[in-house]
Amino acid sequence: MLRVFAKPESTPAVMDRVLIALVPAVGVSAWAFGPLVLAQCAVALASGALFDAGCQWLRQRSPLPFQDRSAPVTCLLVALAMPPQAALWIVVVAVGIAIVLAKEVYGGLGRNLFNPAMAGYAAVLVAYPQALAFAASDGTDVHGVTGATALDALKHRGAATVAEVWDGAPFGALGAAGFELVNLAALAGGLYLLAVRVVHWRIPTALLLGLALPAVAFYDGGSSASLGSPLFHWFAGATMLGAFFIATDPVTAPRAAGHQWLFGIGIGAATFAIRSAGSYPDGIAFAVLLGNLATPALDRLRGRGVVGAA
Amino acid sequence: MSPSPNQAPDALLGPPLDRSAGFEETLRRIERAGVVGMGGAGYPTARKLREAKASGAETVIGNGMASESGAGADRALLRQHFTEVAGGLRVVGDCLGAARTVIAVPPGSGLPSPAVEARPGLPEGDEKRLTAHVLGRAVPAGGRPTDVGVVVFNVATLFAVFEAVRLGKPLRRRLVTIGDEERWLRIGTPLAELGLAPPLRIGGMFAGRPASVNAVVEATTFCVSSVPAESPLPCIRCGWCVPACPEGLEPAALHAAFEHDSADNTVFDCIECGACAAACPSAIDLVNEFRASKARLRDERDRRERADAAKRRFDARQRRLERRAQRQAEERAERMRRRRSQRAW
Repeated sequence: MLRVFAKPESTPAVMDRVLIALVPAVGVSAWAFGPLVLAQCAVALASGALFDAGCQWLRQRSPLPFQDRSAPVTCLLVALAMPPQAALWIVVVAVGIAIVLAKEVYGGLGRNLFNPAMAGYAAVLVAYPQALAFAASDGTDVHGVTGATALDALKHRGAATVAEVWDGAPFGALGAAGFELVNLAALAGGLYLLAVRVVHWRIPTALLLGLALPAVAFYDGGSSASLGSPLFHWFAGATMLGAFFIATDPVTAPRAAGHQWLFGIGIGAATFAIRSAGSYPDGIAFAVLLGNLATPALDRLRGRGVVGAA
Repeated sequence: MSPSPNQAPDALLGPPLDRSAGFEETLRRIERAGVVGMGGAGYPTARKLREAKASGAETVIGNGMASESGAGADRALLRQHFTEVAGGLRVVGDCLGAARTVIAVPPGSGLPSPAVEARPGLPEGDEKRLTAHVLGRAVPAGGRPTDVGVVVFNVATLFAVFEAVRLGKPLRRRLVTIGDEERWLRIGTPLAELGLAPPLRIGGMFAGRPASVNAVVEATTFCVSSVPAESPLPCIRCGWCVPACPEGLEPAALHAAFEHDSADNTVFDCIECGACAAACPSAIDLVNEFRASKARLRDERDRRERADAAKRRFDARQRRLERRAQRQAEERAERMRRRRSQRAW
């Protein structure tokens, strides 16, 4: 039992720690949004196992799924990124894109350019906007968690001030009803990852700062044009999940400390920009993908990427 | 463990020497007993002593720090034969007229004086690091311990020196870590006879080299182990190797350079301690990759130099031929002119 709190010694053990850290977020999400979340997770894991086994078989390796345990992490992240009411077939498509196209086609573990979970989620978000959209633009169905998310409500509120929208259902004490609890659970999982030294604090801190700074700069006390308070942004959408579980994916993050700061702040700022000015309610997936895209260039900036090299 | 390491005195080696023996006599004895650096370098001990004497080394350190985790032969030797190792240290100290002699041991080994307890940590057995620790000041970058008046001998070497000089026994056996135990093995023992599952590697789990099937125990073989069956996973760039590296290198980047056959000359700063491989959660055989990178880069440099030299020779020959052709043309022109002027006259 105590081993779970020690720094892991193998790559599968690293992935196991991440899976453990995701348990609170899955649990709280299921508690807040209903058992469909568990069904999404189960379907994601089951389809992920099939995709992984198929890819390993095609690559003429042992076709046992989940051998390095990175694929189940991807599956759970895809499931958690989905809106709670998303149809199960969409989850399957997203997991398939994540594991087959975003990871194995690039060469599997350690070789992918983009975070697989975010690539899968972003792909279905772009491909099936109808199926993932919420009946929120008319403002009638914002009650109850199966309706709009807070980010949707904020985006599609018409001329209402923040306080007016706030009185509607999707907002909680900190950010967005339900989502704030999921974010707190993801934060708890993230702190666990910091404690077992699977994740370094630099990228999450940078991301949260990058998100909070523009939010502070544009915060006007909650008028009808307000873009939301920093606290709201921290605890809405997939912020904590993105900060601790997705942006920190070492495969797709830059190596040098300075570049990690840039990377995190850039993702945070891009998230804010997409949330407030883009056409999608939550931008963290796209922001992370943009960050991933910058990673090879950042790594190359430092003469062959070697510390202390002349 | 068999009790008696090296056998009866060698008739050819001569009787034991006592402290009255001179420098040259002692060195000749060490040389004839076949004593070499047993920590891995295999450098002839007599030659090292002569060089240390010439450089005026004042401190002798017996290196009893395991150079790698899992290689406990030096520690076991200290436990079994501390007196003899200390005797070897005294022989070396007398030879050099050293002001200070110490044996560095890992913390908590409970060995008697003159042991100095050094900090634990993988590359602590590295002689420059050890020198800095014992002396309290750093060895200059790119320098040797002798630059600060220190010479470091592996404890197994000191044991062999003691046996050669004080007991008249040549170096024939050494203590080798095999799996979890230490065994006295005759130098030349085929590794195939050790009962380990191939493939084998000589040296510890993280910095050892792959061993050929026909390899034997050599004076420098402090550890023989089976290569772990688990195949390495890909690098996930977790970066744990970076703080592990005592030289401040970035092993993950060197690994990427190895995989892409690209040139990263910082690999030559790698001291092959194995700290990165020990930290790697994907169990990548980093040290042997870096050895391969070094070999490839050296080979490329050699080939480039040979090609450059050939080009220089070719160019020089071309210039020579041109000069000769020009000279001949000038001479011919001169002859013609003279002939013409004679005719005109």
